[in-house]
Amino acid sequence: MKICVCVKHVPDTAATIKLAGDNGFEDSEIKFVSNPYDDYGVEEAVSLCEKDGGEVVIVTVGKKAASATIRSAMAMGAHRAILVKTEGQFLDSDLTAKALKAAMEQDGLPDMIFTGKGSVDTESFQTQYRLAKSLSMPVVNEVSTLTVNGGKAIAERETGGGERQVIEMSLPCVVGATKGLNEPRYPKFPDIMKAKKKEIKEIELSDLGIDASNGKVVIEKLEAVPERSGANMLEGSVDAQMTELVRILKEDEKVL
Amino acid sequence: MGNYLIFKSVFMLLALIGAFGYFFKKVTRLYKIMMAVDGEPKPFLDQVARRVKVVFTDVLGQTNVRRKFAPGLAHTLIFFGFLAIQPHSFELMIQGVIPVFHVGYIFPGIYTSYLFVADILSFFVLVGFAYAIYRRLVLKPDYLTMGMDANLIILFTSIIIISFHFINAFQTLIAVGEDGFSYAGAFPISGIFASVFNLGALSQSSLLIGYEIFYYIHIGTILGFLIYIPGSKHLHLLAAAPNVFFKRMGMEKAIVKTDIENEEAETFGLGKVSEFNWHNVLNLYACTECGRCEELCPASNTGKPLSPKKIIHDFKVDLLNQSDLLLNDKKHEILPIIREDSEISKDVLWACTTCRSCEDICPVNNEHLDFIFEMRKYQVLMEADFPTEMQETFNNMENQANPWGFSADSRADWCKDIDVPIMAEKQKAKVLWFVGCAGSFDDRGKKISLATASILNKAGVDFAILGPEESCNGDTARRAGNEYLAQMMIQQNVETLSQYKFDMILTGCPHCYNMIKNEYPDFGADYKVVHTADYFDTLIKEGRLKINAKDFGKLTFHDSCYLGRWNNIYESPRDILKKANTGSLVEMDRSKAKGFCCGAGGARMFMEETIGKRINNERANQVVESGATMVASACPFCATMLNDGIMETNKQIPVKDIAEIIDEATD
Repeated sequence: MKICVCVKHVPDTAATIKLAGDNGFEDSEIKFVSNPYDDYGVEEAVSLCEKDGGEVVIVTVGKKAASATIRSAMAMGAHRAILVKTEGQFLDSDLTAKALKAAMEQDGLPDMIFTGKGSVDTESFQTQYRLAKSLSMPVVNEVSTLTVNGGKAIAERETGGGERQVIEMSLPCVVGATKGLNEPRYPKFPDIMKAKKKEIKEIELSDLGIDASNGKVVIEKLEAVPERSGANMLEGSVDAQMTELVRILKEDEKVL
Repeated sequence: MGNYLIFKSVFMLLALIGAFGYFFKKVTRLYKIMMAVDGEPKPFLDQVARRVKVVFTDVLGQTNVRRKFAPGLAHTLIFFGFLAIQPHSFELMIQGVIPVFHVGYIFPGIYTSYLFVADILSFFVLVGFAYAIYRRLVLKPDYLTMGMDANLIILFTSIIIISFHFINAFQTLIAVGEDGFSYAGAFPISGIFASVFNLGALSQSSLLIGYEIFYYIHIGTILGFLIYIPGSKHLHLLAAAPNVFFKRMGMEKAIVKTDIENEEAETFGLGKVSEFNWHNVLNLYACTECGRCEELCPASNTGKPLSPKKIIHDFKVDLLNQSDLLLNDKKHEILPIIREDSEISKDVLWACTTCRSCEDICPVNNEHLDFIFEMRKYQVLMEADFPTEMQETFNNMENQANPWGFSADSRADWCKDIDVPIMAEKQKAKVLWFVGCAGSFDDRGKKISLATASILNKAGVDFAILGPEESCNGDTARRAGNEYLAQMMIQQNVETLSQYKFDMILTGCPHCYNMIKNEYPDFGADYKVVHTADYFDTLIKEGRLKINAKDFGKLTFHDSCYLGRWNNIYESPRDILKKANTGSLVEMDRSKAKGFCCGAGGARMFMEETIGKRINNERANQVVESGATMVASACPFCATMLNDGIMETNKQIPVKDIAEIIDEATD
């Protein structure tokens, strides 16, 4: 079985992002990691191949520096990788899906595709759907339990309120992984060393016939989230607190 | 009689050849095992003169073993007495084969004096054994292995000693022939044996028979003992002295730098017994399971499955059980140390806080931690098998250069409201203060850092910190076995430090101190490193800090393992506390070299503690027992652990870092 895992190179959420210009940020000083949800996909794909044999190919659309992230995914056991190189960090979901599709078609379409449920930098949560649609494959997102057996995948996802959906789909399909699917492994040191020698095939975005400036979404401006101000602790009896809360919501915040 | 002598000669010759042959075969095999292991030993052949001296003081002088007084004294008596009778016993063996052999003919004066001394020393062995039996049967300390092995050896040796006295007693009574040698006056104690047992009443022929009987008992037991030694824990008798000779000189030690860039290496760390180094193996041979390590071990004391004594024993058993594979070039068939049902489990391995109390107390200078560190390396690098909670810690360190995962660029946020110079802006300062992760990010640690900054400013010290350029020192990763990550952290810091000019590095955290002082030199960074305890002491002595002592009440000082046992700093924190406090300084039972770990060392700070009692609770109880009203520490991790522990005792005993106390007590 050939499995492609889409891995995105994103800033670590712990990093303090310094904005640069209207819609950019300084990325030289901050740590980039693989998108945490994608790690669940890598782990699942590698486990499946360890069990039944096959090949795991990492497909990344990102900057040249993304190769560091790809190496960490390969240290977990992926066999090789394709990096579609972009100039900037932000490529909209539509173009990203198109780039992923083109790269996979060029390489030979896989039997399964894993993505994370979304990326922690732009959080558009669309790429997996767009990719599946363009490849005419079924897609289930936020999958926390998965069984793959005889050309079928049974995916479970939580829909909130304690409800779970169990969805059966035929392969090839796209699975958006989330927490709970597995515990991504910590790579063994020899695997880290081996990953340094594994193949990363680099493709220019333009070579796939995609124009980065043709995105459907354009980021006009980036702003830092204002630091949360201190919470206002209400005191007194429960009645007094409720009265005060309603007053604040009505008069100060004007939300009621 | 003539026939008997010929029979005795032949019999003794065969017995001696058999016993010594077996003994040498066994010992040769043990030596071959020691030389067949693959591990790279540290260089141990420096300072030969000092090493010889240490063997004289520690082994012959028995100073190490007497750090525990009564058992140590008993050991000293047994040791000297047993040594003293050996030449005589050896002479008796030769006499068995060659009846005319007699050292007394050659050096009568010296020989008689020797026998006189040996006879007295020999008796003291029995005194030593009396205590040993009392200890094993009545005192029964928990840490002592109660096994057949120990009892057999006491029995063996007692028979050797008692038969020695009987042989001597008979010799004094047997009539001296014309060319004979008179033993008169040579045996003060054995003479008493003779009168107590009324041996003088026996006829000459009975005396001769009695002599022969005890001769065979004596020599037979010695030869039996000889056969028994190599396969028992009493291999200690042979291995202890060389083990002490090859010991680490000085307390400071560094985890061995693993060459992780070596592409030829098939494995890293210690996964199976063939990967020991010869010094490890010698350690195993030298252990006689006295249990002093277990008595002090914080893990053993709180119900964890780890006992330093037991792991040494278990390593030895595993090594000897698989020694055929080792010696017959079948190393690839050797099973890993941690396997299903093995005595050394993962829980054992990860329970160690690396406090080093076992190494410090070990009378034969074994280095238990060498095994632990290398095994952890193997588990992490080769198996990626470690307590799950460490994965996040590792990722945090890799991504944000601190174990909690705070943003690396906020490292200097703790001092944004005060004036603390940053090295990148200053380029040059007398003191480069390496604040550390706890001091930069942890709420408790940040308070200690603020106090330290205040003290440095009061003393007018020209200092600067690295701020966001600083990385975790690598201690946690290294002691958790993640050598790869640790070296990454170390390299980053080494590179950063090399950019600036400074006279010394100051640290308030003993883990930073130990790493930069003892482990960074292997990475090309050799700096003068000073801990705040020593530095504050110097500032006070130089008059740069003016003490205005306050009443901190009944104060006790908790020794951090990495300051004390790892680096021998015990006095300076106490000195400055005495100066700063108008109240008293009391010591806990477990202090200084016997200080009890807070439970955070060896990366345990970031692991769950689910087995047995919590180590910090145990230490907190010891604080309460000391009657102290405040406890001082000199490590941010100790402060956190002690504070958590004391909260559960429901006592109001504040925990303060020495920096906080000195800051309060200076103008």
